[in-house]
Amino acid sequence: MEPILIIRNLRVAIEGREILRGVNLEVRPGEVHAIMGPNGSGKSTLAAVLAGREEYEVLEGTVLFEGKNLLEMEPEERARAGLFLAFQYPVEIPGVTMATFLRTALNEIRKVRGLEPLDPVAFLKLARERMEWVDIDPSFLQRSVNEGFSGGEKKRNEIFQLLLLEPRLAILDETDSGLDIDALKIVASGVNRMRSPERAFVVITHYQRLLNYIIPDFVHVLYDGRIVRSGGKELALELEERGYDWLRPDSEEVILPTVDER
Amino acid sequence: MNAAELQSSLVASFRRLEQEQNHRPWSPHHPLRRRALEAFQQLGFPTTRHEDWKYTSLAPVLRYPYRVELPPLPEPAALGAQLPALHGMPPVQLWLLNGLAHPEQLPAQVRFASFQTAGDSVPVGHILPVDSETFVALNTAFAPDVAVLSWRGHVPELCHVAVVTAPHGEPQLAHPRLSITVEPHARAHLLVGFHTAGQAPCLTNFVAEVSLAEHAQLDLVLWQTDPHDTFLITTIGVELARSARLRVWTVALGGALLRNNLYIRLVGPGADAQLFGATMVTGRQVIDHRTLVEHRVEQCTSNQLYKSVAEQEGTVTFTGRIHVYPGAQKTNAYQSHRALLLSPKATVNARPQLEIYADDVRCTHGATTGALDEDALFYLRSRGIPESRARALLLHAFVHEALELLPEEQLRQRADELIAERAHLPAESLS
Repeated sequence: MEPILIIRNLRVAIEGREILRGVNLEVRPGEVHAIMGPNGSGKSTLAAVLAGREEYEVLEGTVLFEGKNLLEMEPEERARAGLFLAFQYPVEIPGVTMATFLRTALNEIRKVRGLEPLDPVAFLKLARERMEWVDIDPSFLQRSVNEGFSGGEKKRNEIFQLLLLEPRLAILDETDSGLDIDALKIVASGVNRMRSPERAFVVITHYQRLLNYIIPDFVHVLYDGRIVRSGGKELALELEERGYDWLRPDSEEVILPTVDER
Repeated sequence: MNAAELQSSLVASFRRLEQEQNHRPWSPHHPLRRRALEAFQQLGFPTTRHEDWKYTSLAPVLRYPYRVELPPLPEPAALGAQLPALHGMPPVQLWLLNGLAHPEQLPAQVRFASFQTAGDSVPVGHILPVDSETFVALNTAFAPDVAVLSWRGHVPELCHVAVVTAPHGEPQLAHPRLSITVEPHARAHLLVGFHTAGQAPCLTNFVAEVSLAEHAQLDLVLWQTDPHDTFLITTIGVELARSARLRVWTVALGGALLRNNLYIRLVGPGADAQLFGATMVTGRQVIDHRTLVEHRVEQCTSNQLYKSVAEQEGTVTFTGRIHVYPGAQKTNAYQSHRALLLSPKATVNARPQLEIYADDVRCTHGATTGALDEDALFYLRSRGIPESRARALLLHAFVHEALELLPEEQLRQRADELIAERAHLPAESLS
């Protein structure tokens, strides 16, 4: 199957400092890729660049999303093409209700998929169903986006949006951070429910814990702006045990060839 | 024409109107009118050298040879259809046409009087001294009528007053005037809308004196959405007795130049005043809010929340003064003006002014001016919402906050629609 996402030699800087120093990655439909790495390794930068944050400067490289040049697309075009980012820090938007926000978003996405817009009644029905999947009270639809939500509610809300918008590729940026074990299970079950042969996931996480519940097909280690190691799910366990230091480029241990070079 | 010429022409008009009264007193307030005219002559029109008018020049307003004599009046019934701003609004119960009162079906517990019916029992100048300010003096000198509304008991029904200035082929200066009383324990809901009918330049110089007795409550909505390039100056003085409660919402979207003076006097312990403003300027619109909240006695509370958006070459000015008198202990006063500046040529002026002469008070103010929140914008776009729509949603949400507590569902919705329209947000996306 053709890859959904191809990242080639991606180099990205912010404020003159190079954060990503040549990232290569291919993601095919049906796959779940985990990207792990220590703080400051560039994980969130990768997520932000893929979603279209403008403050990052792409120095070199290409990103193809279903064969199209992703880096030339506006953030909203990326979303409409089927890309979804679950934010590490979801933004509070006072005065814009969840219902208004998500019905507008969903109908924009339905438009490009050639579907009729949902009226408020049909939207509510669908939204309530998907909210139940991640244990969010339907009353949240009348609340301002993320405003006054607890940390766990914000993360579950991100997954709810994922369930509602049904993207082709979902990137989860440290969705597990700050979650207790129950919330983590809810988030994971939401994601697992969406796994399908047509859909792919990139799960960015600092800890192995989430990967007990969302079993990845591949694990990549991002270190100092490069993917220095790739492997199967057992690599995550190894990282949990040994930390990241042994993967430092100047470490004495031998770096094995990465999956990207297969 | 300039300010000085307009001033002498108005004085001449006053003399002419006096003569037309054929030496009979021109309303019971004739002596008061004369005093007011003298005050006007002394005060003159304010310039930007005047501290209270620092940011708003009246030069564009004062260049027309306004006529103050009443032109032929249109039929109120015909007006309703002529004023698009009335669409989607509750029915009008009292018209002030070029200042003349035409009551329609008023709620039963609302008593109405005017010069024509009540003569010298009509109160004038009891809240706003006639010689205090130019525009109050001018209104006192020329107001052809004073519409008196008084509430007794709890009146849940909204009372809608439409202030209409209708020029007849030449520039018109109108002096509508309201006197409002809410009796002890009574509750009133009042909407005052400002409109113009006709094409010539108009200056509406509106004055209202409002008296809230003990435990009285008034919700007042000022509806300033006139699409015409007109000028409007309002001066409203409110006095609150013990435990009285006032809430004012100013929806300021229309007009070429708009100045609202809102003077609140808390004279009985436990009185509470809440002022809200939703303002959007575009083109070269100028909207200037001035508030003064006087805490004269102890244990009163006040709150002001104004949200403003300035686009293109528009200007918003907010000057909010809180004055805590000696002895006004346990005062709790809050004021906030938050503005979005959306173009390099737009202007926002915000001046909080606090004068505190008591020591046991809580008094805070805040003024912010900024751009739209980029993180919020990105969040919305990252879900597929086009940038223009995302901006509109954020703009609407920003302004709407000032109207959240507006109790009348119909007005809140209509204001929401107008704000959405100004933000270029399709109405169907409000749900």
